[in-house]
Amino acid sequence: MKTDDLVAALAVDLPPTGVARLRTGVGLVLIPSALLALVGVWLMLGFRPDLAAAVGGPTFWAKAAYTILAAGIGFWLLDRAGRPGAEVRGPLILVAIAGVTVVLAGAVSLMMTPEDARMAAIMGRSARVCPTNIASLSLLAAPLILFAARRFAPLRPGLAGAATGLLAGGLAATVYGLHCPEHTAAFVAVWYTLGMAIPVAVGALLGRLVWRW
Amino acid sequence: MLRGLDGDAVAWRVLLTEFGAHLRAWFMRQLFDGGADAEDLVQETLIALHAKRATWDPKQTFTGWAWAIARHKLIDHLRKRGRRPTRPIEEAEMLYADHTVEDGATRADLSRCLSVLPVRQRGLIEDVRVQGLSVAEAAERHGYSVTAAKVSLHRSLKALNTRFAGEPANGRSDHEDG
Repeated sequence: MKTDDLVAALAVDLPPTGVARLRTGVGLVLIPSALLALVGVWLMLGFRPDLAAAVGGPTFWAKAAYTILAAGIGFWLLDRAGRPGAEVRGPLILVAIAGVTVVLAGAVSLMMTPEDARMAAIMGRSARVCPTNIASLSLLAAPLILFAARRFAPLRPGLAGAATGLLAGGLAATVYGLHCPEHTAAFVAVWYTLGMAIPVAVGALLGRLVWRW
Repeated sequence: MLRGLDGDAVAWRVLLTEFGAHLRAWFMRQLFDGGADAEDLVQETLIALHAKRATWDPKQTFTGWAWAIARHKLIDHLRKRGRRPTRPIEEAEMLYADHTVEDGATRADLSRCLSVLPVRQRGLIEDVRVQGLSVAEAAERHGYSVTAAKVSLHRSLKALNTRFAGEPANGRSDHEDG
């Protein structure tokens, strides 16, 4: 019978594999992806002049914590959305919690800002370019990640694509922090979030193309 | 499953065969059209299980993982088919008569046979016998007089006949054509 032939043919080509290798594969490409984004910052934007001083302060790390967390949630969601039968509720709840927390943090910090300085706190000096810069950097970071992630088997490719976008966007935004001197919570809550939302949306659209199986 | 992931071909084969039997029964029950596509779906699902075997986490149940893929393939299939009514392929024979897979294979065989002829003769015989031009039209295209074309065609057929006489099917059809 033909199906038996198919099974026989499939069982011939059987290199050892497993979910650990799959995760490691995606994890490993994060390094070259981050390096690509780093080169992008270096060549196109330049590092912030006060980088050495900023690394010692809390705002730099608060920003980095937010974007690294976003990338981490993206990874987690990709790992769940990419495996049939795995539960995606956990990472999705965490996305919601992180979103609400950041919005609250931004709002609280605005309320503590004098009224006439609020607009300046939100807009900073780079609001116009911040989301597009983050989106362009994720364009550098995303291809390798997508390439490694295509071995997953999402039943909802859109969701897995969005997760990959969040991973790439978080990574890009983290690297972008080396350039961007903005320091208000409101600015980060609005513009960094928006910047990461762009690759998420693009990823959701690309998912269908990446995962045809 | 674990042994399959480690590269144990025998274990993997057993797993696919056994699970394939379950799949067949299930797809038969799920499809409303008497399960005409069930075997296709079984094969598609087995290929997916094989290709995506790395996405099974040993902490998960195998059945949870595998049936999720099978359901996905079924939904995919139903969605693709949509709500359009279907007819068994046999009833659509009229539509397919002119273009079948065999058609392409025949054409490939034909051009391989014809390649034993000299280029000019070959062009002529292709135009007349395959494209269906009249001898006069073909003769004009290839710069023959009509008589010369007829002679050339006759020779080509004869050459082919001699060449492939060992294979009765070809020989006979050439006779019929000539």
